[in-house]
Amino acid sequence: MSDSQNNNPYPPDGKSRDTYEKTRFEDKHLHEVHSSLLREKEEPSENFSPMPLIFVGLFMVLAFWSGIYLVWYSGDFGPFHYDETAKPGEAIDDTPREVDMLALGRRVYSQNCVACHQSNGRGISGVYPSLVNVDWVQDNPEMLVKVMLSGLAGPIEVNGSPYNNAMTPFGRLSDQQIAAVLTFIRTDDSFENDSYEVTPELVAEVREQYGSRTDPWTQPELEEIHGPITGGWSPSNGNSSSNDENDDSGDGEAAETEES
Amino acid sequence: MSATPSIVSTLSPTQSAGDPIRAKLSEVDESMRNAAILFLASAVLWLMAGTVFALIAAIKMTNPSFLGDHEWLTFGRIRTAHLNAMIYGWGNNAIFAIAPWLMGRLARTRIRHISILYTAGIFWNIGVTIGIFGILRGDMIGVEWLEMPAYITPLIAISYGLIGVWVIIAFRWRQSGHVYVTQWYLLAAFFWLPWLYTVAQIMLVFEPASGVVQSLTNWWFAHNVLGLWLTPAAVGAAYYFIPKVLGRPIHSYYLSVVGFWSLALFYNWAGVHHLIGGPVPAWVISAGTVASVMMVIPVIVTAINHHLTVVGLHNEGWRSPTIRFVVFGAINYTLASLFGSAMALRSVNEVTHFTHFTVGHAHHGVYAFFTMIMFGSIYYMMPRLVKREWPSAFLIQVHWWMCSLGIVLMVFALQVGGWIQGLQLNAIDEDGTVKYTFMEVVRNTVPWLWIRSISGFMIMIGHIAFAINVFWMLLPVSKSSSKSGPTLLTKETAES
Amino acid sequence: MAWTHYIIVGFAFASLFFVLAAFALYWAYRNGQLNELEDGAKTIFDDEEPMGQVTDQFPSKKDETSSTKKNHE
Repeated sequence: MSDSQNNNPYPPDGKSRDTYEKTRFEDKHLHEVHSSLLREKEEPSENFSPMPLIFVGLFMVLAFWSGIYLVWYSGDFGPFHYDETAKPGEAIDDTPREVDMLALGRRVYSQNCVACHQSNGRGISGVYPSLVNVDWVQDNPEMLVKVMLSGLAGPIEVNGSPYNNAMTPFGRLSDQQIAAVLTFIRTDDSFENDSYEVTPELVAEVREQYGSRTDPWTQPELEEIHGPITGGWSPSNGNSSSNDENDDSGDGEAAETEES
Repeated sequence: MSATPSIVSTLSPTQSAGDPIRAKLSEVDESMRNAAILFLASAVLWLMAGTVFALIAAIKMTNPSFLGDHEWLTFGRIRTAHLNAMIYGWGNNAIFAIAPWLMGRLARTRIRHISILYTAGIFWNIGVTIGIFGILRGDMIGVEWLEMPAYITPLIAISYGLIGVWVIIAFRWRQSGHVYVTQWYLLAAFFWLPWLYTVAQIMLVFEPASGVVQSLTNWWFAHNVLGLWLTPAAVGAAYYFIPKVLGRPIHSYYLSVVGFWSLALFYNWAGVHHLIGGPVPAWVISAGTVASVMMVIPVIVTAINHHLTVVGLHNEGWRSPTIRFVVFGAINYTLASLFGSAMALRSVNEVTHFTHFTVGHAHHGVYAFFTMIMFGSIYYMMPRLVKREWPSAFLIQVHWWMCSLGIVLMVFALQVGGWIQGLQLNAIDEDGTVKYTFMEVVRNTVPWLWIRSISGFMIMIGHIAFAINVFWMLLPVSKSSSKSGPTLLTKETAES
Repeated sequence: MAWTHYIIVGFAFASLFFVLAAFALYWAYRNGQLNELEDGAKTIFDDEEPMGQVTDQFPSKKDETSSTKKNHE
């Protein structure tokens, strides 16, 4: 009997038997305890073991670590801060990143242009004009932007060969994307045009002027504004009425690309 | 609407004339029988369908041209069909069979108006069938874990609602004073799932959020279906079956309260760790990481309770199929959760993201933990429902060995292979270029994927054995096999 | 809906959920569910399936009798 009293779960450690018995120990409990002891010898005492201390310690460490991690790797809790290594209180560097126009242009080209002009830019003879080393691409960028924004239709002549097809407008692309893809086909080595870059500012300007136009351009219309398409155009000898003031941004290397 | 008060009054056992206040366990079993058998039978059928889908998908990983000219069986559809058949077909049906039964038993109250549960079950399965069919047809929604087409959402939602309400009714009119920990888990799960499902349906399907909010919602939903639906159901079941079968109270009951509330607190946040490296505000991901790591607390607490209850009685695992499956599941709950916490760390996630490691982890959680506990629960529940012994101990052995060895092999192959894959994907040469081309890395995973297919085949054999046993048991002809002594039903057979 | 609406709605939902959880915990406390936890662990046993008895085993195992079996010999 003394043995079973030691195993007795009531009262738990730290409480004196007297107060315990007064407040909570009833016949019902006594009966339960004894019946369960009779049925099973070693069950009860295990039932009241607290959590091992080592786990309490572990949970403390976890909570501590979590707090530090949350403060230290949260980019100052800014909604637009994606770099978790930015330290709290540190000024976030949100100056715009330099965009590699060639890389962007290559991506825009491969997503929008390859269906007709092909991935090598050579088009399909007689159906889709080539973009490699052709007069159109080397001509006035303003004209190319117009073609990009509103499309091109009707008979045209590229490097002397006739085409009669329609190009869809790409006005949905951003100024930067249009500038990038034009820069790509005009300056990338694989296109052999050896011309100069097109800036987003130029695209924005043309879009403001002509962006509402929905009909595709035709070659006679473009030649009326920009003069004959020869590829021999440059800002310095420009034949357009409007390009003098807006194309100063073109590089100096434009001068070298006159002859092709 | 005069019928309403009468229905409500029939729900309350105290008001039915002549009923004892506390229903006997055998009466609870009896009241739940038809609906539970419907859910179980459909769960097993879905399990078989999902296994076939899984095997086809696994073979396609090593032989891409396998069944390649059947549009319906292309990888994108068959893998998705596998996932949905397993989660909504097998997993949910198993929970719908076990949870109301457990709730009724613990609340000491009979499940009333079982025909409503039965009808809901039929509609649920019609909904899932149309959903899987829709996926195979190509109607799927491009949101992971929510691919079933939108036109079945009402069907699924309404039938789920009825089932959930029935569980809550069983709880509401409980005749036992104490709410056992299993009831906490089940009740919470039956509130959490509709919450998850509604928010996900609204924000992803009917009024889709734009941009990064969409993927945040997606992973919040997908991870929580595992963590706040499958996990509480299986952990709750383990909390019942381990002490029940062993005849020994849970090791430290008050710890289970800690475990429950810390799960409720932390799990909800953890899903975001799927978006580590994505264009999500840094603090959101950090919060997800912290919550995933804090999940160690409920996991360890649950592990203490589950494993220390078994200590000293391991031999029962050889005698009782329920203990064998449930303890296997409980061990893997501990392992899979600790792995999961580790995988949420940014430095580990760098390696495991986009590799087979994640796939292995998903199977560790849903199969080695959840499904194995469901198997164990079914082994306990079925004899009590149909009052008949399992027809074949041999088939149970086949089921056990094939499934346990199969899943261990699968998790091992996918996690080791996936880890190597991740290291190779990240490897950089001295001159700063990648060390392995993408195709080299892919080729190096092929042997591991073969092991996965083999383990999947083993699991399928196990499932076939299980299905034969279940349907054999349901057939009346198997009565003859019970004569050799329905060992675990002595009392009930003596009474009936 | 703009993303700000989602934040507001989401916050409302989350708050509601939190309140519900807090209420559940409060209810459990008031209901006495957190007292006498050790007794609670035994509520799953009764006369039909009593404590100290293994209630599941392989069907028709030769070395087992059909009578009740104690855990600890």
